[in-house]
Amino acid sequence: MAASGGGRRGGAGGRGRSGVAGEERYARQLALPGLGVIGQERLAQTHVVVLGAGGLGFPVLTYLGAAGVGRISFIDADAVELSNLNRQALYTPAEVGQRKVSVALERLRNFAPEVNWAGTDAAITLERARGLLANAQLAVDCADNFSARRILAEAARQARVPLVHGAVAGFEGQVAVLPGEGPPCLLCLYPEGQGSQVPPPVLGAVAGVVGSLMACEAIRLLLALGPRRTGSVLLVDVERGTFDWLAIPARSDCPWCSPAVARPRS
Amino acid sequence: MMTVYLKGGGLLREYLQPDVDEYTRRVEVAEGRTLRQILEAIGIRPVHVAMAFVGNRLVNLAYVPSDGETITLRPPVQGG
Repeated sequence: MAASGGGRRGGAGGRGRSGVAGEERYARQLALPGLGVIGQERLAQTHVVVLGAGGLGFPVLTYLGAAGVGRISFIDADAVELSNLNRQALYTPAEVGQRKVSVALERLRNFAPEVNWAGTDAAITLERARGLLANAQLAVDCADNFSARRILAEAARQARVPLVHGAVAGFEGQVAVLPGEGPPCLLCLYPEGQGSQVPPPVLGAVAGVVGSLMACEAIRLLLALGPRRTGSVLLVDVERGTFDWLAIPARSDCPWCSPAVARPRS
Repeated sequence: MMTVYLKGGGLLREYLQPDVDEYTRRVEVAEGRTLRQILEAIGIRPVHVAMAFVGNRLVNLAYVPSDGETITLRPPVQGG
């Protein structure tokens, strides 16, 4: 069910004058203000957990691996379907029917062998999520349904791990950055809940944009770059060309994060 | 009575039936109505609206709009 891969840090370029493993590979980002050698080493020491290896998971896994996150664990229970391929460029038509985790692991290890990749071919449960999040610094929600998102978000709060949440449908998408403790949480963002729905239509490039923004927010959060956006949601409408960052109001009756609501100890 | 503008794109347009421009519908409502009541009055089931915001502020379906206000609606977006 679970497969892991030992990373080969320093395998692409070795240690250069900066002392950073894989210096040549990361040369184009080492000069970025706020990143540099210290930031690169910080990324290398980070463990990120990603739920879903689909339309959002593809850019998130790819760009977190490309950036040099040291350890990336992901979980997905699906096989590759032909209808995935308008947005999920980790897979090819020849791989239809194969397990996503198996295909993605091989592709991601070839792309970024410095990363310690681990894939779990199973549906997410609270117990699995807790196990994956042990010693993780960040959770990233690339799921395709609300019940899976809720499980990851609940486990992340229990582990006090911040969460980058993303979702797409049609020409629209959203990215939320949620704290590991305190308000707001995923249930504040969706006070009415989100019922199950048939797989929505989606333009592949929209998943690419939203997933890439999720990767950016993940890296910003890990490196404490730029203004703090924890507790905010970015609403993207590619058709109208709008990008709106909004603060997420904390619910006074939130069963997860409101101090006014008594909760049993877990 | 007062006027409220509801704005929405993509998958919501089918329900919103814009009449001001491609994305906006003008609605005449009695003062004091909640967003939920306004949506129901024009035949939009609340389940089709996952989020709403006014300016840069998220609001819920209990929100009571003011005259002339524009409320942007978002459909459920849960794909990955």
